[in-house]
Amino acid sequence: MTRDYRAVDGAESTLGQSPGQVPILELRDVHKVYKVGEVKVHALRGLSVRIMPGDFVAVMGPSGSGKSTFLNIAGLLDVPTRGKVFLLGRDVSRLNEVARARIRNRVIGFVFQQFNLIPRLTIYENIEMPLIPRGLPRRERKKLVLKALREAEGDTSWLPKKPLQLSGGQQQRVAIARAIVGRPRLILADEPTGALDRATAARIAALFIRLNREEKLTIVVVTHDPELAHCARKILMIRDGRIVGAEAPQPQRCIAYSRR
Amino acid sequence: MTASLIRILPDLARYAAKALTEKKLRSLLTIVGIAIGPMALTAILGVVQGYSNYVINQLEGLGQNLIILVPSANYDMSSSDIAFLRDLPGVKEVTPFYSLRAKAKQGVRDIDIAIYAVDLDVFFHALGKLRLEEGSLPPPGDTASAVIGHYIAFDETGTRYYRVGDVLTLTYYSFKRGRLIQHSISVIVAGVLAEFGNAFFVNPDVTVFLPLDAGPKLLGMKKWSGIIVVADSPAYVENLTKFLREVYGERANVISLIEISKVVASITAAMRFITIAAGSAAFAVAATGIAATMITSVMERTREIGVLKAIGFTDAEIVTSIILEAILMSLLGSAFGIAAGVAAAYALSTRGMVLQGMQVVIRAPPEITLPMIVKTIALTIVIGVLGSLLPAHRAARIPPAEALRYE
Ligand SMILES: Nc1ncnc2c1ncn2[C@@H]1O[C@H](COP(=O)(O)OP(=O)(O)OP(=O)(O)O)[C@@H](O)[C@H]1O
Ligand SMILES: [Mg+2]
Repeated sequence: MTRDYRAVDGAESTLGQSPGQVPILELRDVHKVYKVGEVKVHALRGLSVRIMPGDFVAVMGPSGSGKSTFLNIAGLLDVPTRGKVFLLGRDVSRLNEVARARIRNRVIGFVFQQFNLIPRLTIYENIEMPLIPRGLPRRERKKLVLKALREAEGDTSWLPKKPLQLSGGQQQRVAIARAIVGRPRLILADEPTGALDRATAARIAALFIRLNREEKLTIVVVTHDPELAHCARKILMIRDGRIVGAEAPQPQRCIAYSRR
Repeated sequence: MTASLIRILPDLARYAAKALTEKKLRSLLTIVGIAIGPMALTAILGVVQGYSNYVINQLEGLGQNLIILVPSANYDMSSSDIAFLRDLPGVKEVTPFYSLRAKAKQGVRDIDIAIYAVDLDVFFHALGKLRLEEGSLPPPGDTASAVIGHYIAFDETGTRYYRVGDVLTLTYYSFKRGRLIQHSISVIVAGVLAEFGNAFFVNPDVTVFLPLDAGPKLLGMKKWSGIIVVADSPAYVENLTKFLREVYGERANVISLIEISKVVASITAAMRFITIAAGSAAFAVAATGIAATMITSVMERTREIGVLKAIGFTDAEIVTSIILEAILMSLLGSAFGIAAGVAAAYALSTRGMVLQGMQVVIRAPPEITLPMIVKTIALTIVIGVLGSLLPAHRAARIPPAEALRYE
């Protein structure tokens, strides 16, 4: 299993930043059908997309258009009914559960709307969580946790606290620290500002921009919020389970730069 | 894969421990439920084993080659019985005895004692464990001299009341023509026995032994209370006992101490079996308790399990952490249970076991052995694992995408 994973890692080194290279993430004609009793829900209907290394892509679309479904399949949390998923050039749509878990652990970092921190664990333990399956020594874990917290613009005074002792914005920064602590290549964020007020959302947006520019993280953000979408390098429109178009973002509309 | 799982085991255990502390009351109740099985097992098995070892030891100490014949109410034993018994193959010695219950003074206190008038040489020879601590056996003709038990000469605190040469007054009752008559006799202490320890039929520590002739001469008894048969070897006892039963039928009760120790051993085995069966029921209940608790906590943590999967925990790692949580509860439960069981065993055993009709109270420390504790802990852990299999399976099957949608 570990070997499989290294193959993915190995592909990494051949990747460049320029277009025409191997996409970090590619979905080809992905369909997803949910069966609820007798009813079939077509959440994705032939979705295809390529995300290049270093990209910052916002995916926008109406409610129920399949944004979360897309993100779950891209993040190996769900399997497509039909179609293929490539991560770092490798077909991952047919991997077994253990291999998928390993890839989620090392290549991908998730950020959710509801933060999804574990309430009984301290902030330190929450951020450390993705390092546990890797079996890293304690000291190394600590270094990575502190680094991730710093990059996520968090404060070390939070570390011994529990998530509910922090504000929503602070919790989301902790969640972002948890997403990047394992040095993944790809951040998948589902409505990361959906539960935050405007000022806090602006900080999170700025953080994503920085992580993309300075840490060279590839970021895919699913959002309803145009003000967040315009912070990205590219906006994809999704409707009825398909990508229906792309838009060039207008940076002046990005919430991180707007003053109000 | 397995190696990496073992490597992260301590971290998974830490996480499992944290999960337990989240719902403290529920975890505590489950642990208490788990503790009942180990507690019952430790307490009951410990006490039963303690008593049984004690009784068997005592019986064996009392003479494994003894057979006692006690005539029934309408049969009188005579010298022809003695002659018949003496000629049987495998029989070494035969002596009749007189016995009755009496009271003796220990300072201001009356204590219950037994009086045995018996051929002292034969009796003391047969019961090798019986030792004189002071004085000597009175000669057969000296019907007013006695050897007294340790706890007649001394009380429990070690205070002395009688020494060799002292006069001991014994009080007992008899019926004559429907009237209760009180008798008082005085004997001279010729010897004091070393402490023997509580025993079954004869309790030498609170017995006054007199020469056989004291029966009719001093106590005024006309009928033998019974006959003691000493076999050449314990190996003959069983067959002799069987034979004597056939011969005497209804006329006498034939008792052998070996037989009694066998009965005690089999009663103990039966009690152990019952205890283990009852204990297993308690363990089954514990397993269900663990299963119920863990299922609830797995359901409550559906979303969290989804997050763990998203973060990269494998199903095996999640299953392991759930099982570890149950094992942790089991370990705590068995620790509490065994501790409570040991305490209960000591509490039970100090109260002693009263053997009705024999006027004997057995006090023996419970026998709690390391293998027993290890087995109990192992069993509890197995129960924990069994109880958590279903919840763990449930947790592993949760699809991550759906778990994350779960409210
Ligand atoms: N697990 C599921 N079972 C059944 N139907 C589902 C499931 N997940 C999603 N769907 C359906 O699939 C469609 C797409 O859902 P999805 O959650 O991807 O939409 P979305 O674009 O993320 O919407 P929103 O903006 O409201 O989050 C919807 O009709 C939804 O009801
Ligand atoms: Mg959604």
